[in-house]
Amino acid sequence: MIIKIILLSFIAFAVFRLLRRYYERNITLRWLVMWFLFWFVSALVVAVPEVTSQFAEIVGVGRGADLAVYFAVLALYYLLFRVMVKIERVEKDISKIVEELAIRENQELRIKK
Amino acid sequence: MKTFVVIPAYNEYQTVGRAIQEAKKFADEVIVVDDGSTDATNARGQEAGAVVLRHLLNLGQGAALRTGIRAALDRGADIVVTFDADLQQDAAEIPNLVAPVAAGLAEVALGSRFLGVAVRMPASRRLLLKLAIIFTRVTTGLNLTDTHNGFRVFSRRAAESIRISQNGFAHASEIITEISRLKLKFTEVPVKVCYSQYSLSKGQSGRGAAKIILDLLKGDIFQ
Repeated sequence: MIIKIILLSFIAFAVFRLLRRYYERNITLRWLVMWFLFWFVSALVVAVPEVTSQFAEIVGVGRGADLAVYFAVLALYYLLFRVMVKIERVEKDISKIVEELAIRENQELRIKK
Repeated sequence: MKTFVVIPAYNEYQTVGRAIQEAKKFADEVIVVDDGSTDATNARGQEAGAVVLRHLLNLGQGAALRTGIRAALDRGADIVVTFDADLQQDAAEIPNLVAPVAAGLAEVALGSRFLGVAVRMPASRRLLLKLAIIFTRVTTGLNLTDTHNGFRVFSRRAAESIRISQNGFAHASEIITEISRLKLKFTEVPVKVCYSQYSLSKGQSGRGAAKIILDLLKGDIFQ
């Protein structure tokens, strides 16, 4: 019971910060909706854990808790993939800049001569 | 025919000077790409009379070659030679690799230490390179005797069409893949490679090989 209260408090705090960020225009409506949904589902799972069992039954997985973990892992892999793609993109951009600088610096030297 | 030698260099101040002096005897111009060195590579390069381009950050040998080849083409190169800064290779063999390309018999000439001579090559290095050869044969279908040799010559056309997207050492495998993809006529030329304490400390290791394979996989997925 204590844990439920602690977790729900944390979730409430997270939602509060989320709304604050939105009103400060630090995040878009899309982010707000996505994260709000995420916290909502988390709160639901914490408050009424049986909900996961019902869902698990529908999907055909053993326990609700297992299903929750499966989802979490899939989501993590997906996010990780997105991050890796982003990093590759950023590295390529950095390379472009560094190489362009090298060429231009050299061209300037040639013009000076 | 204007022949340019491109030397990628990262912290090679001890050897780059001599590498440039040797290469200059057999080329019209030498371009050194200082890949973010933290030592006196840049200064040594300029002292030795090379055109030195400088990367602000260390990007990798592939990126350095990309910059160097681009600079060479900008300056009107008809023939582009890639050459290492660590004195493992013998600049006197540059004409041997340039010859088939200049004569129009091939667009790319690849140096091969296994057709030529490898002095004091450690067994571990030999094994690693042999595995690389098998790997390349399987992935590109090309039957080469040395797949990771920095001593190469490109015709202008080949240099213009080959796309190096790998920044690190995986560029060597990528160049082979490009040759296969573009169906460029290539030839292998025996070269001498001399291993020294210095050059070995800078060469490939088992972990380096693992990174190359990972980089190639990432290149395929994220391209």
